[in-house]
Amino acid sequence: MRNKIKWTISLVLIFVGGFAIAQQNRPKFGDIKPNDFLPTAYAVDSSANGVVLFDIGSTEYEGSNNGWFDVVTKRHTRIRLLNRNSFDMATYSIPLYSSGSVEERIESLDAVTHNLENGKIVTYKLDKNSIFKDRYSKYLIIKKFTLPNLQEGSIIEIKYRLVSPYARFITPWVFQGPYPVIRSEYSARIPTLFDFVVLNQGFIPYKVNTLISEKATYNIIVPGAVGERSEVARYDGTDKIYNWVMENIPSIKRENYITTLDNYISKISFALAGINNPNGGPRTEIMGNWNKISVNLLKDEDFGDGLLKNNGWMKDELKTLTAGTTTQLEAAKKIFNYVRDNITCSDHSAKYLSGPIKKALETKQGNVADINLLLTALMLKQGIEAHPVLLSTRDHGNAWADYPMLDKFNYVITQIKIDDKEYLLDASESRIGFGNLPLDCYNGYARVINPEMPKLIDLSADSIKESKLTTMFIINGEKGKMEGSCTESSGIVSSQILREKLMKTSIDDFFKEVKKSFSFDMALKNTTIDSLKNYEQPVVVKYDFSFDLEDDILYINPMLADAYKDNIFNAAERNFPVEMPYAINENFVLRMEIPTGYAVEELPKSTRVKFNENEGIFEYIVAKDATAIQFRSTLKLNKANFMPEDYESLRDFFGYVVKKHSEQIVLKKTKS
Amino acid sequence: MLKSIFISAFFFCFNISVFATENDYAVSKIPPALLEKASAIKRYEYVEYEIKDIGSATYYYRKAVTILNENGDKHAGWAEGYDKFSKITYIEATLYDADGQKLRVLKQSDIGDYSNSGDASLADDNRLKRHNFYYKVYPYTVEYIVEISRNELLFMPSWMPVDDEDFAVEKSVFRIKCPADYKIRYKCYQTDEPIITDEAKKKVYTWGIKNYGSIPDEFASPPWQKITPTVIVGATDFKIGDFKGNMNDWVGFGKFVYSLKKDKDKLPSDIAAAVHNIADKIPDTRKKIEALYTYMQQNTRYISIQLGIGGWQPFDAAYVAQKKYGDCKALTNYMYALLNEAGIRSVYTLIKAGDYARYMHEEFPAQQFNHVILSVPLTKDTMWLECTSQTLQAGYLSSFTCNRFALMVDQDGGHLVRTPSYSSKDNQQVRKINASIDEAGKLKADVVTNYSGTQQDDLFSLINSKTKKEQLEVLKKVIDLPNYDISSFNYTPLKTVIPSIIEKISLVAESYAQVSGKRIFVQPNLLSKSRFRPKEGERKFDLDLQADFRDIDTVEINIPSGYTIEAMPQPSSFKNKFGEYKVNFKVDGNKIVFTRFYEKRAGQFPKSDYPELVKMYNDVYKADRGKLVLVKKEG
Repeated sequence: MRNKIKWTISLVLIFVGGFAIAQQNRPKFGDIKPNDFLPTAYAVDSSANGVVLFDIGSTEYEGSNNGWFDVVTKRHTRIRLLNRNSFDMATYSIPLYSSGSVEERIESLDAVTHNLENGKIVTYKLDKNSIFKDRYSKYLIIKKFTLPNLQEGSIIEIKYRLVSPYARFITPWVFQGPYPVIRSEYSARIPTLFDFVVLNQGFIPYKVNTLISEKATYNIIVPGAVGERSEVARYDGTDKIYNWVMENIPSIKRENYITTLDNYISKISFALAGINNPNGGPRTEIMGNWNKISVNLLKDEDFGDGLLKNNGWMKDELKTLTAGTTTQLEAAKKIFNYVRDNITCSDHSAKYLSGPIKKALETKQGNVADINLLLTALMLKQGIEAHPVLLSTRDHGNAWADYPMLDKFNYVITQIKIDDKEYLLDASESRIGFGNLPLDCYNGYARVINPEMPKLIDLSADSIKESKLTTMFIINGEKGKMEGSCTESSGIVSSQILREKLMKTSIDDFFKEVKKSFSFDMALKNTTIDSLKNYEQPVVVKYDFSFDLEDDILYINPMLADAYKDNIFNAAERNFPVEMPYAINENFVLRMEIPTGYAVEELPKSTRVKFNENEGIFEYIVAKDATAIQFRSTLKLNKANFMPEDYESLRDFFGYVVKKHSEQIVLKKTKS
Repeated sequence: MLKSIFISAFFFCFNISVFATENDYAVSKIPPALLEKASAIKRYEYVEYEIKDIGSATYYYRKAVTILNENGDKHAGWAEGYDKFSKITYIEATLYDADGQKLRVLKQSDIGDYSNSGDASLADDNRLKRHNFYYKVYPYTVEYIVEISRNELLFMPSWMPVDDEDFAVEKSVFRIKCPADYKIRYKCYQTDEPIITDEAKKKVYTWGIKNYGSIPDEFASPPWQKITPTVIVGATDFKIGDFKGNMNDWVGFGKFVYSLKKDKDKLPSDIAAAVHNIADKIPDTRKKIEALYTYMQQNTRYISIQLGIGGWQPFDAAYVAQKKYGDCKALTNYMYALLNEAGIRSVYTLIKAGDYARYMHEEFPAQQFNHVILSVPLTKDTMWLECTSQTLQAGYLSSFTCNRFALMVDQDGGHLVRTPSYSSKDNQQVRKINASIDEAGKLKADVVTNYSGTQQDDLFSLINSKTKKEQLEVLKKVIDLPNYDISSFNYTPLKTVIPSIIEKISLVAESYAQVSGKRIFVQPNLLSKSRFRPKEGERKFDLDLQADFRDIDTVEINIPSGYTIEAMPQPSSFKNKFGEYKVNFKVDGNKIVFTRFYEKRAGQFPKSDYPELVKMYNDVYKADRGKLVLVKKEG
């Protein structure tokens, strides 16, 4: 008991010393002046409905009463609600993690509404009965509350202290949100015992960004065995003290063509690299390097342990599967197709197994790790070189190439090597062919889990070349009719989308839509779709058509139903890079006989435009001879990712495509 | 622990005694006719709702569905909500292959248990249990056996055995079992009256269907109970929490609802003083109501808290006065208290809200509501107040609650009334555009649009909840032009009887008109193009068209001089049972004048009218896109 008191005092002294400078200007809870209610708008964003006046947080370690450390986070936020459309800012959800009896807790919470009523400040407290607890899942409790007595113009203030027993995790500090913030300030005081990598993200510069070191003492209560007294252990060490301040932070909103807003929001996150031994022993590596991680992952029973085993149970399975195949490639395809077509993916965000790899085969279901690790194991058993590959999907945000941080990964695929050729496989999606990956996997880097060579694989959207080719032939048919035929071959991604669509609509209905997409009445026949089930090949749509000519003057858009009608970039401004899903190469070719009895009156002008020198090209070529019109449109972008500075020229480029794609061929009747 | 053993033992007997049948779920046993166009088939369903007493019941079902293909997967999972008044006491599930062989059985640890309170709610006790075998070797069959105990009779299950379109039913049985002296009420649609039997001092009502083929998904089809077998069930005497009621008629149900809200309207003295301060100086009642409604809107906000009986009982007016927030019940009750203080009688009114929730079983008293509004009977008419909105105009109900039945509740019980319906004359979009194009095809346009009634609902909430920047983003999504920028825009809401909003937009569209050599192509209908064209072909069900609206457009476009008209679209007009349409194109010197009138009427129509409707949509689509061709004069 005595020890405990002493410990408290010594700790207080240290902290007062350490934070004296930083805390000098910190606002006091409830220190509000009538003048604070005067502004009707704030310079940070004059159109904002509500503004965060300040958001101040700090994280410190404290000796716990359980033999280790607690992470204590304090937060004080003051918000001005300018009008009722910002009232949602007054409703708070604080997530608290728990696993069994180890749970995060809020130790103190003050929340108030300040109103200016008849020139006087009136303060309304949140009553404790109005704090609700939602047991969201096994590991997550959400505390929810909303502040009382809101008025347009209210100032609300929230202050709490959150104690977490999870010493390895520091919650990221997010500077930016759906409302503008005038000042956001965060400090972290971390014992050097815990070696964290600090990751900064976002485009907004810091006003303050400092790091100092300071001596510190922690008293840790070590619980005794049953019937014995607890003891207090003293730890003397050095703390790292970080301070970050950002000012005038605009709100952040999603724009088209970005992978996830999470990649751009200004925030600081912490990843534990290792824990030094307080007693001077060897350090515990948490992050390590990819060689070590690969070794550990392959030993981990939740990941690769099952791959290295004998797996005798696979023998019969493989025998049946690969019966009749003569090459390893054929066998690999059979194995892949079997896994894809028979095992359902119940969770597309997982890097660890949910059970032994055998389970996925038995129950015919599993998460993406279960499925692709099973696939890896089957390939290995078949004698094919195979490795698991870790990646982070687009929704999950960027994985950092420089740091081996497992947290940043959420997906497993398989790499195999046959005759020196490498293939990346994902058997978790129903309609992805051998050697193709879902779009969601193309999010920068993937890491091969191979202790000898844990190499990076480039999986950027730039590397997907989506080619589309449409060819149309139109000739003079009988009785003044025009007869045409069309062949449309899609890229890999569009093929997937088309297959998805044709699962839901009948082929009949699909062609009814095709017919509707033409601006004139026509009859369709001989409709076919090739490679609908052959997922390795692009889908090819074919049909013949015929139409009548009635008018004396004909206006025909040579792009027919394939024109770009709208600019895909309709916003005038852009804050983020443009991340298109893939690079494109779209070709449209038309050869049309001049209808009997008509002459060409006017043709659109041919043109060729380059985008940023060699990053893209648009060609629109029209020519005619005595009997026919030849036309070609090529739209090519060699990459998918562009910087915000490129936005305007990208918008102009597509604007020009839309303009040319609306032009018409004019034909006139020669004699009546 | 003891309890759960008891329950499973009990079930064991239950299953054996009543329906011990081990069903054969081999796909080969499905009558071939059922396979046609179905993506899933309900093989067997047994639903039993057993009333124990006026405050408790057991709901039991056994349901097996064969999934034929990927589209049927949505019928393979199981989810059941529960709350303070219900408990899921038993779950058993089995997965079978195409031959009807058992593949897997459910493990209790596979069942997910989740919070089911939505983002919109601050606190409630809705929870959800969920399970899925995640299987995809087709065809396969899943079977679920579930028992839920409920300690209330306010909500009773309905029987709608046809779960979905493209879904066939081999066999489904529904039984209600109740004490012999308990009077149950029910209503049957598309099915026969029940067979009534006696079983161990209980009365049993049984319905069933066999071999019901799948039905297609069609545009504008009538409500489900008009096209598939449905039985709805209601209580007579019932109890929930400490409250008792009788639902035999709307009067009785209303009395129950009233008992929940009775004596909850006492206002703190400062609020009462505020009421008099506002209302006493206004002589006109309607104006008084408007002023108090505005006061309520400015001083409260909507926050949903639904715990236990609080899902049905409003918070005290004093609670709202103190916190300045509440849910629909609390805010309506608060408004009721404000009016009461001013000496104006108003009525707490239950309604089924939602843009597509206009149908209810008005002749069948039961808990069919999800929202509360306030009605204020005046000498000549009734004023309607939506108390969860801080912005809506007093007396106007948006498409969320207009044109449907509602239950007014006071000390005398409940009375069904209809909320106002807005016709196509009320729901207008009148647009006038003054524009010009230059020789490069660049368009400059000033657009003035007056939206009214339900046509202004979305816009109204947009301008009342979003910043100017966000409004612009939405506007850019709504306007369908190829390449354009908005140079200015503003909105002026008008407090007309039917609310309206005037929208003014100036925009510039580079190369709106297509220039090909010496020709310019102009589509004068800039902004009012219809987009929908229904699927052609045979139809199974009659038509139920919901939208009533009227759009009137006038567009004037100045063209560069030195051009003549080479081609001009034909005017088009028709009038039929679905509505009226008229477009006209005219050239007046250097000016193109385009006029358009389009009115659609809601209503029910026989399926034989469908080809005419399709043709109408197609004709409108085409006429809306008519183009003029201008050609430069030679020389």
